[in-house]
Amino acid sequence: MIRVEQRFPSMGTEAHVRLESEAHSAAELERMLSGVRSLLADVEATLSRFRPDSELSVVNRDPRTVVELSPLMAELARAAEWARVRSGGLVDATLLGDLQRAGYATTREGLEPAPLDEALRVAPPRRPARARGAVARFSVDPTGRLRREPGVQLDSGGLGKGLAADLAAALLPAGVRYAISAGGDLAVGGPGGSWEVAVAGVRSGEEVHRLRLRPGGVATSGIQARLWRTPDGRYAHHVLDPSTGRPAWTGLLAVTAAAPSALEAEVLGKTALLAGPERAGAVIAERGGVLQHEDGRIEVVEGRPVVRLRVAA
Amino acid sequence: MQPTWGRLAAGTGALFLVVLAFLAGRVRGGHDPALRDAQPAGATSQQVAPQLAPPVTRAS
Repeated sequence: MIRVEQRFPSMGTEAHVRLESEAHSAAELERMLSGVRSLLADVEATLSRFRPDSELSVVNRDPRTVVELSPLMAELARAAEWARVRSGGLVDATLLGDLQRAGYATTREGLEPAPLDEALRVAPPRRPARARGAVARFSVDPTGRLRREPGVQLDSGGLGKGLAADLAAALLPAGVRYAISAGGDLAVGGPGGSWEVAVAGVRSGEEVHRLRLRPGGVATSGIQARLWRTPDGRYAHHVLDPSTGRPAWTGLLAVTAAAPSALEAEVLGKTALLAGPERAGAVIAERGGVLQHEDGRIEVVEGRPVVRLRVAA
Repeated sequence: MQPTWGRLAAGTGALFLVVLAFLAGRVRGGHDPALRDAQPAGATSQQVAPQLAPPVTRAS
């Protein structure tokens, strides 16, 4: 078994790529890893809202309601459209203005998050988030043009990371076993059976559970990594309640979800986090995951068993 | 000649001693038959691939 592995900064966080194969040489795997790295760099250059020259920033500054998109930007816009439907309106990529008003206008890369326990102590009463009443409408037509209501801006956020991991996985030929993490959103697959993935604890950073995953994806959505103090002395984070446009305090600190793709895992994790402790387990029940509660409880949600039907010839 | 109980007991005892001496020799030579399937610790650790830390998912 030949294995190559690399960690590198990407999309304001860290990427981690591990490729293994019995059918390819080390040099071939190195070339594939280089291709993955290039793709993640392209995704960042195109979809980062912290780069004024990225296509996402250019489109968001464009006042037109119909805008031509590159294939990658169109993928993000379609993913955002799909995520809103899949999450019942909880994962809403059009909250960029609210996010900036909450204090997340520039990258927080390299900044220490504010103290979690202090933030939790002064946070508003916990409640599940809700979808917005008036949805900011947008869609991507078959030719790759964005059609939107005036003023609609998109945020790549976690969707960009999940999308990046899935696109990178799609580059790899059959016979390569892979785990591609774009900032903690992972695409896993290839021959050799299931993957074990460690879930990092919000408070300690240490492993709190280990998931055994079928090919697909896993992602964690949480409030602690991007947590800051606002000028009025309160605290804010980047997971917003669409109904208020303000940070959601639901009683959960993080949710890890497994799914058929990294993008779907990202959407399920964020949906469950926003839905709150009562409904989160049901949201991620298909392939399972882990809920991290404010009181420190780690709740493991087992996925439904795989049923294989064997048809006699 | 009819075997007697005494001869039978002596034969059985002699056979027992021969087998016992053989097994004692094997054990002294490092070939304890009770441990035949076990591997020396060093060989086992060489055959097992080093454990890799699993990939990690975390909120970012």
